[in-house]
Amino acid sequence: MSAALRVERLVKWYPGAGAPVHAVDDMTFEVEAGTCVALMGRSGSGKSTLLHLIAGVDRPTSGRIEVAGRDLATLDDDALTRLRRTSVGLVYQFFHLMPTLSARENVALPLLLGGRARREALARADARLAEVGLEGRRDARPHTLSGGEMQRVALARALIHEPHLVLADEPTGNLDSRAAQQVLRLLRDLGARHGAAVVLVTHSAEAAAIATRVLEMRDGRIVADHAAPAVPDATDGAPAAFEGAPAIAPAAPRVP
Amino acid sequence: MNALLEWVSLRHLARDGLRSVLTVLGVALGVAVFVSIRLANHAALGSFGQSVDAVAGRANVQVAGDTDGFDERLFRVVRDTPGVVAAAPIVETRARARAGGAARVENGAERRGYPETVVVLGVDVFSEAPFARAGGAGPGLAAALELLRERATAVPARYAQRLGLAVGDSLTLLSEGRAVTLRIARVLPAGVLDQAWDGAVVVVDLATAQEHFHHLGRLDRVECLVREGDEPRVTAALARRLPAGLRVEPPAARSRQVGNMVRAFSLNLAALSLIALFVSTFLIFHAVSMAVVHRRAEIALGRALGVTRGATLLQFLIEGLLLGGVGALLGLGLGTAFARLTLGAVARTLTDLYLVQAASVLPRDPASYGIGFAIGVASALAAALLPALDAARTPPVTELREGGRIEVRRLPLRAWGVGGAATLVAALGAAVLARAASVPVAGFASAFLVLVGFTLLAPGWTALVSRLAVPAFGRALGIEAALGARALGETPARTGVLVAALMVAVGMVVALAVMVGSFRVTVDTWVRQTIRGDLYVDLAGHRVNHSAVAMPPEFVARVRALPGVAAVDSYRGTRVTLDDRPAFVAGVDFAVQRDHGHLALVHGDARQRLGRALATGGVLVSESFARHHHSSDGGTLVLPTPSGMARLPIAGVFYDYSTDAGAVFMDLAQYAKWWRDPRTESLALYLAPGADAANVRRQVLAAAGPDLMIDATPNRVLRERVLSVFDQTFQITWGLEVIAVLVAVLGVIGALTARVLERRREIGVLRGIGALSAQVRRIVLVEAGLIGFAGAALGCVAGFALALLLIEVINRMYFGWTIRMHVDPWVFARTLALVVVTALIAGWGPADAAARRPAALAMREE
Repeated sequence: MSAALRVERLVKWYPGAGAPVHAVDDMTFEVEAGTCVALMGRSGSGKSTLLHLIAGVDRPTSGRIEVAGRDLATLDDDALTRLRRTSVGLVYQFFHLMPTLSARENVALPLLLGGRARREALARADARLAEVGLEGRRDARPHTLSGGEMQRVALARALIHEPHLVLADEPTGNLDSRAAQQVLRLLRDLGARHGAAVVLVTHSAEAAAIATRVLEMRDGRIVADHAAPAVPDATDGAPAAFEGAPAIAPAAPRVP
Repeated sequence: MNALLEWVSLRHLARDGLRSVLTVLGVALGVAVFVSIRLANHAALGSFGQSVDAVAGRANVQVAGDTDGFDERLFRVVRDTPGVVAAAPIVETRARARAGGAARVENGAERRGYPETVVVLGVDVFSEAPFARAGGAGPGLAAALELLRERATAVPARYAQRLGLAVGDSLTLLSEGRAVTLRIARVLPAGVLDQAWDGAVVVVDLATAQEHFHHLGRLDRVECLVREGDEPRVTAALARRLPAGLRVEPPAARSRQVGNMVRAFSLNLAALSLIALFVSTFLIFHAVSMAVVHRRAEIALGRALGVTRGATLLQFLIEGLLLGGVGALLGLGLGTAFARLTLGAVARTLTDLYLVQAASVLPRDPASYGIGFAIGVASALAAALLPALDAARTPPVTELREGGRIEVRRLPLRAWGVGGAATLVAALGAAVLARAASVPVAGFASAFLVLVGFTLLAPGWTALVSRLAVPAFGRALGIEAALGARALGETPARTGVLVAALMVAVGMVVALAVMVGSFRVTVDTWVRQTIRGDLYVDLAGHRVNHSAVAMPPEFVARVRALPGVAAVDSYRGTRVTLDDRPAFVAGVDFAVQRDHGHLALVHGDARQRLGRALATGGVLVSESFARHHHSSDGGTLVLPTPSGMARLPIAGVFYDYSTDAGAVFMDLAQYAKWWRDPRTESLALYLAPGADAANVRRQVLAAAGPDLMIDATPNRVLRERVLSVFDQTFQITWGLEVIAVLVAVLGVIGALTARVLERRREIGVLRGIGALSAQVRRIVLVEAGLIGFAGAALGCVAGFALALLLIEVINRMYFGWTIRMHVDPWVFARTLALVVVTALIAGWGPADAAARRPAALAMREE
């Protein structure tokens, strides 16, 4: 399996009142395609900074990041944006859907921004919405959706361009436990189905349970790298635990 | 409450520095324009009144004639009337002047050769003692015996200082086309006379004034001192004893009459000056609405912690008040600076259109500052009220969901649209009322309703533009254009306010452009029709005087006899006072007018009407005169003249756009009979076919001889002069409009900056999911351009409606002018393009800031 993400000796520090603050301090790790890695740690441990560096929306102080074989340091701002359009999907804690767009338009947006034809982009958006069980709500505006529904739309948006890497920043942090479980299962299953590597930032052990591997962070460093703990509830075999959700195709690759 | 203000409001206002500054600046400009126009109007007219008071001294009753004054023998009648304690004869005229000896000028060059305009005041030093005129602490003119010497003069200290004159120096004045050099015999001490006409007063002995300034045997006024309380009785007694053409009145009556004459002009300027202030209230409304939307969660938290509805309401009202108050204060200073700039133009217009010489120094005018500040603050409070009420209605628990920044209460666009349409119908009703029932103020009410009506339509129109633009832009320009277009419709209430602000500014610009354009075409046509003489001849300096100047009869005879001259129309005019406002009466040669002229009449054929007037001793009146004095074609005009009340049949009404004061034309012979004055003031020459105009002009100049300075103006130059006065009259108007547009543009910049800040997370997300910085810039620019387009397009429609109102109702009611509508489609296309480009330029800064904003920073906002 090839590495969808490679991080080498990554450092990011910010000027502080006295000494600089090391948000990310000499981190090295890889994430293979089709796997899910959870980044765990307390608030301020550097998880979100690391995610922003990987997404190419922030620049490291030193070190190297490779996404889908491309060294981010060699890319200018526009090239980084184009890389996100083709290879990276982002899922945020607060969903961040465009309030003026319908669900399907939100999902189609990355393709439209990339210059794809509207008809094609919307057709693919419809397909993704069906995968997350929202085909009936494709014309709904974000403010009429529940939190879980909004995050499923965000997930469909992150996957519409079949990225190599999905970065999810506390995707369940703003959801109740039932909705959180639904979103986590979808993230795991759809990521695997589309062959995308998933980096999941979380401080919840329950959320981390869907991952193949867990990297524990403290003060910008990886302090532990281990397999995910046992899943607390039975998720296998219950992919369609919410109403209207489709069954994931049995042939889809599963996280072991 | 204090803590709430200090901790919350002030900190927010400071944090939103740029937007607060733009809003304050908008209000400042609005207040400044209002204050400056009021100051300039008051200065120009107030100084006239002040000058009249200063010259009048202690006199409390005066006997005044019209332009030509009256027989000096009437002085005795006045002096001997019981109750008159003292009387002083006065000659007052105007002239162009230069420091030093004579210089020869002609053909309109007198402004260069004789750059000063002065008031020549002829007084009888022996009658002066009781009046304490120009006395200061000393005896004043009463002891100025040196004035009795040949060509001696006294000038106020301020004027002497300005021109660098001292006792013994020369001052040369143009009188009836000849140079009269006076010698400074006394410099008057600083005192009241300094305040008259900026001190440009040249005092001479009565005999000097009569001899050298075309007043032989005549007086302009007799000023009287009457015991306090005795004025009504003495006034009545004087009126009984004196001929019909003379007015017995308090000195202040002159200022009142001038005020009546220029009221329409002043009122129009004042109304226009309110437009920028009106636009700035939209900015306050927008600023406070944005503050409420941004701080909804904070307001809810405050309510949960115990802040009452009343305190919340007060907090936002005070924020609006702070923005308005600081802006208004700044506007007072800025207004003074603007006033200094506009005063010259106002004074020039009053002189050109109404022959009122207005001073150009700003007096202290606390009332104008007070009113300007009060209006600025009141409009800010009114603008802040709705958003403040909205804030006060915020429940203590307010959930801010995704998309929570979309206006929670959807604006009932349909209801607003119906309201707007109903207001426009009311505006139409007011316009019809104004015209049909002659209620002039209803014209302004109608204009206000038009602006309110279109303001109510603005949110719906904004939503419609957004709805139509999204698919069209999406197809033609890509997703970012569609996103920009969609953002426009996201908050129709707040964006509608900006669109309304632009609509008002653009509407007024378009209305004025159409009105002034139509007016100019009308005047141009009128000038071409009316000014048909080939050469117009008058005496140098005549234009500042316009009165009592007479051409030497031998010169007139020589001109009449020149080869190549087919006909000569001669003109003699005077100013009369009718219905407490001045009007002009002129004698012209009706036979020449009939055979050679092209007087444009409202109804009927000029040749036939002039023939009838000649046969019946009738007059023709101008359109403005007919309207102001309720005279009509076929009616009778009763005119006070030096020979008694004249009852004259009105044979026609003619178009006249030279002044709205109103004019009466009668045949020269009639004029000579009623005014006992056969003299000639100016000439219009009609050349024989084939005659060489340049050659005739040379001969006319030669006929004047070496001493007489004349202007012989070809009709082309005269037409250009009329149009240049016209253009100059509207210069201030354009200045006012530029400022209104500037205020609206400030609003667009402020609002777009606010919107970019408001959407920073959204922009960060867009960058995160693949929007290039250029695409983000385009989104904001499309929104800016569309706001410009929506405002300008609605403004064009509103402007057309306002232009109709200005032309068909307001100008007709106030000035009595018929203007033929002339619509130039380029006005609309140009305005639309200009506003869209301006909005794009205004949007560039915020758009660039959005594009440059680091995506990580935007995403970290959560």
